[in-house]
Amino acid sequence: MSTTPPDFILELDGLEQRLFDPSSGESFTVRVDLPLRIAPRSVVALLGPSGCGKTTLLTVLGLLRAPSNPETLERFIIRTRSGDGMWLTHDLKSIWISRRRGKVEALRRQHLGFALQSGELLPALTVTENIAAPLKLNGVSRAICTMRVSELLTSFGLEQCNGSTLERSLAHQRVNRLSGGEYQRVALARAIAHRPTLLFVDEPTSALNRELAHGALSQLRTLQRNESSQGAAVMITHDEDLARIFADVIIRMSPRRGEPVGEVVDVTVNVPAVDEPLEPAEAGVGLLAESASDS
Amino acid sequence: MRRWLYYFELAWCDLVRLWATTQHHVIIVAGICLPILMLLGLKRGHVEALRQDLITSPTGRQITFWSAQKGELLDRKSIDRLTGDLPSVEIVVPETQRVVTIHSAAGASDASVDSVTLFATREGDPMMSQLGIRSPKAGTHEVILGQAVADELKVRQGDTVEVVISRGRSSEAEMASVSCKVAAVMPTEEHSALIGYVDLDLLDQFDAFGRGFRVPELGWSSARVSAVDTYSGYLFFCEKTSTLTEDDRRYLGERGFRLEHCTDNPPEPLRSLLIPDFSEGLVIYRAHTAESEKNPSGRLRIPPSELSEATEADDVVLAWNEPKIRSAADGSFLMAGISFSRRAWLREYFSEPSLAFDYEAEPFSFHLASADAGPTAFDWPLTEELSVPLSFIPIPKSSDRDSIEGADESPRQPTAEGPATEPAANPTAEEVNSSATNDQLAARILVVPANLLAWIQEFGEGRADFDTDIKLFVPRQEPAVYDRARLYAMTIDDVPSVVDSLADSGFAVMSETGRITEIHRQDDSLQLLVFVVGAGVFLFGVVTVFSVLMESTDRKRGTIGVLRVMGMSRSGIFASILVRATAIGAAAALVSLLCGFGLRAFLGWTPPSDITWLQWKPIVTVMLAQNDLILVTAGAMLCCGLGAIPPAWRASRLDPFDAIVEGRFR
Repeated sequence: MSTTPPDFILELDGLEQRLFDPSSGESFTVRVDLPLRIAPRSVVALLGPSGCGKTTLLTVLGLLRAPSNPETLERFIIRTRSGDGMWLTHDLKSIWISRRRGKVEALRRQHLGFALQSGELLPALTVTENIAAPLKLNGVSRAICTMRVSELLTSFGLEQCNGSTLERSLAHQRVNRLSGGEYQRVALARAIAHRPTLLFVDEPTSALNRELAHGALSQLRTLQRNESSQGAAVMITHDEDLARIFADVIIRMSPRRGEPVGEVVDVTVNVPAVDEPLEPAEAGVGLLAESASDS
Repeated sequence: MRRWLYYFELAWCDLVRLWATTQHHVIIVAGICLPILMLLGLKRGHVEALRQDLITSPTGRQITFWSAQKGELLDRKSIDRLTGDLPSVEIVVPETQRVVTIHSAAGASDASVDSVTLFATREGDPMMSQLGIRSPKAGTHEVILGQAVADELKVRQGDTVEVVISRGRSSEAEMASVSCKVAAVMPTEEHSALIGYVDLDLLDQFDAFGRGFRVPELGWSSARVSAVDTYSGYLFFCEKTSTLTEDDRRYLGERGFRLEHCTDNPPEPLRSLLIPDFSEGLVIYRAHTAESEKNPSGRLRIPPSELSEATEADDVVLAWNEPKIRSAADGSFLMAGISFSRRAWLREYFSEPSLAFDYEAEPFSFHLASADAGPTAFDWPLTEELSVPLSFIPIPKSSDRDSIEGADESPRQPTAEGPATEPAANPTAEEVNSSATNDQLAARILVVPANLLAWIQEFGEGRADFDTDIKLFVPRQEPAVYDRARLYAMTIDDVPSVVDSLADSGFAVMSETGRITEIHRQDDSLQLLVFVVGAGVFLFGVVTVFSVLMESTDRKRGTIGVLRVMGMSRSGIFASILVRATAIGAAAALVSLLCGFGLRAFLGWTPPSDITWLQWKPIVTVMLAQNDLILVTAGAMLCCGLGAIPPAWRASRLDPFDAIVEGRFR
C-alpha cells in the first residue's frame, strides 16, 4: 500500500474470453495477447468494427462478467484508492478463481463507473436522483450526495431551468423528459459521480450529434484529468476522429479472418487534439513501452 | 444500513412514480382481495343480523326455568342464591301474576278495568329495557300498564290509578286497594291484552293479601280464616259397660294410634275436675301416635266426633293438648282446653257439668274451675308484646244445668253474680311457655275451648299468628313461592352455559339455546366456507401475482441490469423487488378496503321510496370487522410477497450486462 499513484491502475495479460450463444449454437472468442496497461488520468479508446469483441472486453475489464477461464489469465490486477488516499492492489484473477462475487460487486460499486450505449438511466428517478444513485449505493451521506450532484450538474450544464421558469428545474425532472444530449450527459455524470478509478464508456455518443458528442466527451475528459482525479476512462467507439481527439491511448481490435475470434491488434499512444500533449508517464508511456518491447 | 434503505427507496420510487405500470398489478391483487373481504363481511353481517334478531328480541337472553325434578318451588332466597351461583346472570325475575281491577284515580275519568293481569318485574328488567321502559324500583307503588288498559282507563304516564285486589268468593269477597303511579305505558302485541307490570315486592304483597295473609306494609288485615287447630292426642272416655271393643282398638291401631289406659291416672287437671268416684263407671284411654307428641309437624287434626263415630263403643272423644301454666303475682293459672258435645253423657262425670266448652263456644273465653273469685278478663301472653285477650264466662249453676244450651251460644260477658274480680296481672311469655307440671296442682284451673289452646300451641310452634285487628289466630304467612322464573344471561353467548348449569341443578329449562347454537353452527359453517374459498382465491392470487411480477421483472431487466452494473448486490435486488411487491399488496389491500367500505354503504343503503327505479336493490348487511380488515391486508401483502419470491429470485440472478442488452428495447 502506498499513497503514491501507481503507474497503472489496470493490468491484464493473456485473456481468452469465450462466448457461446445457445440459441444459435455459435461461439466467439475474444483474445488479448498484448499486455493491457491503463495509467491513471488517461483516456483509452477501444476502436474496432462491430462484432470484434470490444463490448466483451469491456465487460471483463469492468468486472461485469467473469473471465471464461480465470486460471489461464497471466495477470489481471486493478489498483484502487481507498478513502484515506492509499492505493490498494486487487488481484482479480484470484478473486474470480475463488468466486468472491461480493468482492467483485463491491469493487464495481465503489471503484468502477459505467456510461453505457443508451445511457440506461433509471426511469423512476429524477436527474438528480439518477446522478446520486452510485453515491447512495455506496452509502454516502445525503449532504455529500447533494454537494457532489450539484457539482456535476454544474459541470455538465444540467442545472438550468428547462425553458419556462414555471417548469421545474431540469435536475428535478424525470429522465423520460430529457433530450438525447441531456440524457447522455446525465448518464456520464452518473458514471463519474462516485469518482471511480476506472470509467467505462460504451459508445457514449452514438445517440448524439457530433457537436453534442464533442461537448460531452470534452467535459468527461476535463473531469477525468482534473488534479483531484486519479482515474482513467476506457471508451468504446467506432468513431476514429473522436478517438484521435480525446484518447491518450488507442487500442484497436479486429476480427480474425475466417475465424470466430476477435483480438487486440494494436495499442498506440495518441496525442489528443483536445488539449496539450500529455507527459509520457501520464499518457500510457508504460503501456506503449511494454507494447513496443513485446513487438 | 443506509444502502438497504436506499434499496427500499428505489422500490418505493419504482412503485409510485411508475404508477401507470404498477396500477395494473394493484388492480389485479385488489380484484382478488375484494371478493374475500366482501365474503367475510357478508358472512359476518348475516351472522350478526341473526344475533341482533335474538339480542333485540326480549326472549334472546331469557331462560325460563322451573324445578321439575325435585318439584320444589322457588322462593326469594333460592332465587337470590341462583343469581349469585350461576355464571353470567344479569337478573332473575320470578314469573308470578295476580288478577286485579284497576280504577282511574279520583278526579279523572271513572273508568275501571277488571281482570287486569299484573305480572312481576324488577328494577333493571331487560324485557322492560328493550321497550325503553324503566322498571319500577323496589318499594315504590308504580305500575306499568299495557296500552289497552291505559286506553280504557284514559290514563298516561305519570297519572295515578287505584289497584284493587280481592280475595274470597264473590259473595264474601274482601277488597283492598292501593294507589299506584303509572310508571309507563307499554305497547302490547295484542291490543286487547289487559296486562300490567309491578315490582315483584308489590306483587308479592298483592299475592299475600289474596292468600288471606295480613300485609302490614299496605295496612291490609288477614282474612277471617282461623288457623288450623291440631292436637297431641285424644282422650277416649267410655262407660265401663260399653268400653272400646277389639274392632275399635284395631281401627285405631291401623291409624297409628297407641292406646294407653289411664283411668287411674288421667292427664291433669282432669282428676281434679272429675267427680271423685268417676272410675267406678268410667274408663279413660289416651290415644296418640308416636310422632304426635314429639314432632309438632306430626300433630293430629282429626275431628273428635269422627273418631267417636268410627268406634263401636259409646265413647266421648276429647281432643287433647297438654295444658299450659302461667305464674303471676296473683297466683298461678293452668290453662286446659276442654271441648266436647253439649249433650254428652260425660258431663255427668265432671264436678261441674258445664265446665267444659262445647264446639260452638266463643274461642276467646274461659271458665274458672273453682268457685273462688277470679279475673273477669285475662290477657294470655304470647310474646313480650303480644297477648290474647280472654273473656271470663261464669259456669252455669247446677240448677241451670238444663238450660246450659243457650248459655254457650255467644261469648259471655262477666256478670255481677259471677265470681269475677279484678283482671289478673298479665304473665310473661316465659312464664307460660312451659307445660303443666306438679305445680299445676296448686294453680287455679282455667278451662278454655280446646281449639284456643290448640292455636296457642300452633303460635308457639310458629305456624299461626294472632291478628289483633280481627282478633283471630290466622295461619302464619309463608314467604312467597314461585313455580317458575325468567332469567336473563349477560349475553346470548352465555345462555348455553347458564342453561347447562340450571339443568345440572335439576331445573327444567326453556330458552333460545337452540337458536343460539344454530347461529354458532351457521357462523362456523360460513367461516369454514369463507376460509376454503379464501384459501382458493389466495392461491389463485399467489399464482397471478407470480405471473404478473414475472412479466414485470422481465420488463425491468434493463433497470435491474443497470443497478447490478452499478454494484447493487443480488440480495439488494431480491429485497427491493420483494418490498415493491409487498407495497403493491398493501396498496391493493387499501383499494380493496376502500371499495369494500363503498360497497358496504351501497348494499346497506335503503333507496328513498320516490326513486322507483332503484326499488329492486336488496338491503344487505355487510359487516367489515377489524379482524377481517387486518386479515385481508395481511393476506394481500403475503400473497404479493409469496408471489414475488420467484421473480425476485430470478431478477437477482440476472447477468448484469445481458440484462441491460436484452432489456434495452423493452
